[in-house]
Amino acid sequence: MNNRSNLTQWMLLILKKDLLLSYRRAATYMTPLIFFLIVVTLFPLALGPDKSLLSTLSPAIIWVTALLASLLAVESIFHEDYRDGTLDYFFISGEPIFILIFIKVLGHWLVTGVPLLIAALLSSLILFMSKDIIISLFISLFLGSFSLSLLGALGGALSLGRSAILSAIIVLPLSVPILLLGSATVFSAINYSDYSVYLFYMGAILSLAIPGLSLATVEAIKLNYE
Amino acid sequence: MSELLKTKNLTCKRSEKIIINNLNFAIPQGKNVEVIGSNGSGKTTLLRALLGLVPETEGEILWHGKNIKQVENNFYKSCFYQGHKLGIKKSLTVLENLKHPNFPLISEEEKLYSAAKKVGISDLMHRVSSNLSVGQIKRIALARLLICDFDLYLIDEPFTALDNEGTDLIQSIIVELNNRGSSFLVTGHRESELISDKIYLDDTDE
Repeated sequence: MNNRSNLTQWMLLILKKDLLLSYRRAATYMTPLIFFLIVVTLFPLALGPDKSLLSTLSPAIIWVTALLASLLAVESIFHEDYRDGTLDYFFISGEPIFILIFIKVLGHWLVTGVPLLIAALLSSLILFMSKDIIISLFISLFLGSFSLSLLGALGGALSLGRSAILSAIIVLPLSVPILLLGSATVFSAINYSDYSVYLFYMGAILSLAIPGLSLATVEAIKLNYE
Repeated sequence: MSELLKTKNLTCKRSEKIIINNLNFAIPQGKNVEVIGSNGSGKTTLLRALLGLVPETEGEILWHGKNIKQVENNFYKSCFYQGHKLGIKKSLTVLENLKHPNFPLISEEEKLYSAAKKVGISDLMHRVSSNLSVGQIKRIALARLLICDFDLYLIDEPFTALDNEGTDLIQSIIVELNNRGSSFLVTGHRESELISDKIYLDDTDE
């Protein structure tokens, strides 16, 4: 007699529950989204309607703002599950915990990363970006935002039960390579150069980050059990 | 009667301090064991150590006579754990909290309603859990006991925050699940009226 649950059922449970919880608490995705839109809108106001200046600065503006906005959501990844005991059940699921953690990060990215991606596309219009540049921005943000969510999960796990600012301090320096590659992709597109190499690097980082950071996050969570 | 779970010289430490020292006990199938002790005596640590959530654990834990490390997956899938933290999501309704408990559940809505009715919260099913009292939240946790069958239920202080009616209710749930062949390991500050073997822990570490 047992509940005979399997990995797929666990993955579906985590995803469904997290999406439902986010739907109920709009602040989870609205806060980074509103922050992003406000900050991006401030730049044209501060710099003036200089089309060439804005389109030159736009990759940096969008990437830095997306990075800072994603930090706002870092704390919410594990905080509630740790506080109410839900995280304990991951460890007694009998399933590979790093996969469950990865699914949790995926859910978090769907809720915070995807809206940011859409907001970035809208922002690119007010920053006078051309269609080709928008495509490069979209692909780089797609790859980069997921890597940032994985980094955020590690930061969130290391700062469980501690100040939220700690996770930002952990995540910011680690996210520099993603920021550099992301903005380099869009700058290359602006200069009509081949940007695919940067995207390959970003893809490689993401491919390594999925197993590597998921495993590191599990170990970071375990620290709170010692 | 076969032994479901057995410990041999179980010792648990936290930051080098011995919390549980050389504890030996067994839980027979369909029977209950109650761990009694004051605050800080190691009741929660014991439950968590059995589940592998306490890193500094020595001694042996046997599940159906086999070392738990060899049959870990089977053990976890046969156990239901409810700690101090109940894992109830405040922004979900009672029904949603029953539909999405802390383990994957394949159960018809009818069964969820029946469990809720048994613990007296069937009229609160569509109420958001943040609007409920501590006792009502505890009843959601009690209903979760009834929605899926497990071999062993490890429950930390189930009688806390419950009125007399709630205490009677949990005892009847335990009896019902005992009749289905399940066993219980529960903790508490005082002896309950539960038919069980007792383990007394004190905070002198012995």
